[in-house]
Amino acid sequence: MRRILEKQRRVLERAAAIGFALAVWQALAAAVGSAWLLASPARTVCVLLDLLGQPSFWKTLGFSFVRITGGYLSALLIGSLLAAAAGASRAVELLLWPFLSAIKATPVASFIILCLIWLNARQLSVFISFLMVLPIVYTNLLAGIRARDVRLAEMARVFSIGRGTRFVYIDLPQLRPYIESACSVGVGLAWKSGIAAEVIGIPTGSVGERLYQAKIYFSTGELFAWTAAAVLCSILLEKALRRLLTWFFDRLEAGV
Amino acid sequence: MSIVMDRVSKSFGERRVLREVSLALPDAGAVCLMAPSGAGKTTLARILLGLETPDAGTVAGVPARTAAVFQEDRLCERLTVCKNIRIACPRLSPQAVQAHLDEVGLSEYLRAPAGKLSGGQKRRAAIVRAVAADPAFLVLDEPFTGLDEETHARVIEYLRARTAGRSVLLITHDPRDAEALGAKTMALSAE
Repeated sequence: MRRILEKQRRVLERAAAIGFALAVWQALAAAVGSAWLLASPARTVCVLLDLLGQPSFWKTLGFSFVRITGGYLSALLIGSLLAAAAGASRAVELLLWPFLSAIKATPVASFIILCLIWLNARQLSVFISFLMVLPIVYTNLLAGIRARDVRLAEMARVFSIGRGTRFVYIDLPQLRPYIESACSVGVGLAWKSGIAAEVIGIPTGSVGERLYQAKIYFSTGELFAWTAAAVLCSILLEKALRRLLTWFFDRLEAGV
Repeated sequence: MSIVMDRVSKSFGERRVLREVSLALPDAGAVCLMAPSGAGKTTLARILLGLETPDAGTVAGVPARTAAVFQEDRLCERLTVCKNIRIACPRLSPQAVQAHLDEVGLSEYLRAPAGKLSGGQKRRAAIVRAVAADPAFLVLDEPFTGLDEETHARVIEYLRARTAGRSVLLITHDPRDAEALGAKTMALSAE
């Protein structure tokens, strides 16, 4: 009961904080006095509701969603494999180090321009999302692999526990917080970098293209509405992944 | 064929832990290794289990099926007690695991996460895991740490009943444990 009350209190606190932010936004919009320069929250909601009724909105959102999610999931897969290889071999870690350091340090705009030279603009967000999420997944998982309990590995050796069982029941539960962290941080970054790539590359039918048009026509209402749609997609994807991971690990850990 | 350790030496840096230790463990029956702290009992057990390589000397006859109760419990904290035992002995059904747990007074904890158990309960779960693995060679490194008198007696009874016919190496400070398990006592002098 106390826990439920505590949870409700936290929800109310957050709702109050959001309410405060919206009030500040509304006040600023009223102070500026121009819907072109700064649309109010009410105007943004109106534009978003209008967009929701248009089939082209869903097509545009779907275009970006598929590509950004594709890049993100590819980064999860490849990043995990690279971390596993680096965890198993110091030489592999050393060989990967310059590439991953370069990806982490280079401004995303440089990669976007380079990719525009190499790739089709329609595939740009896939690659940029992949590139930005890859080091996050790799670094988190490698840290998790390094932090595994050596004593449990010895136990597995003494009991001749098979590789598959060892990975699923001894390694994965130890990696759980690292996997959850990588997935959670990666989603937001994938959307930010993917949309940034689309704004620069302007692939036809993407969210980035609509944001670019909003800039050309000074339409902050559309800009905020598309931004809200992208943020909602990012949050929903993160929540869905979190639920999937919780379901998977809870089942794994509660099994007999 | 019995397990034979012949003139085994082991050092960690400058510190010599074992010097030309020789021993033979029978195919069946318990042997108790007694020695003061720091005499190298655990190192000797780790060498027998293949977790350390001796600097000199040889070890022969260690069977493929080994199990151990380590000084620490070494349980996967997030997994249930049943799963902790079944990853070491996959052929054992949950019902069979329950029967083992009943014998050591852990009947209620089949589905409990190992991390939620008390120290004594974890110890018993680790003992069950080692025994249920049905090893040909079992190492018990101070297995009764943290057990109260009543539980201690119960676990001794469980070990007596379940390890008959196996090669068991018991490491302890208490000669009563060796006596209770019917183990032949061997001394290891400090280096």
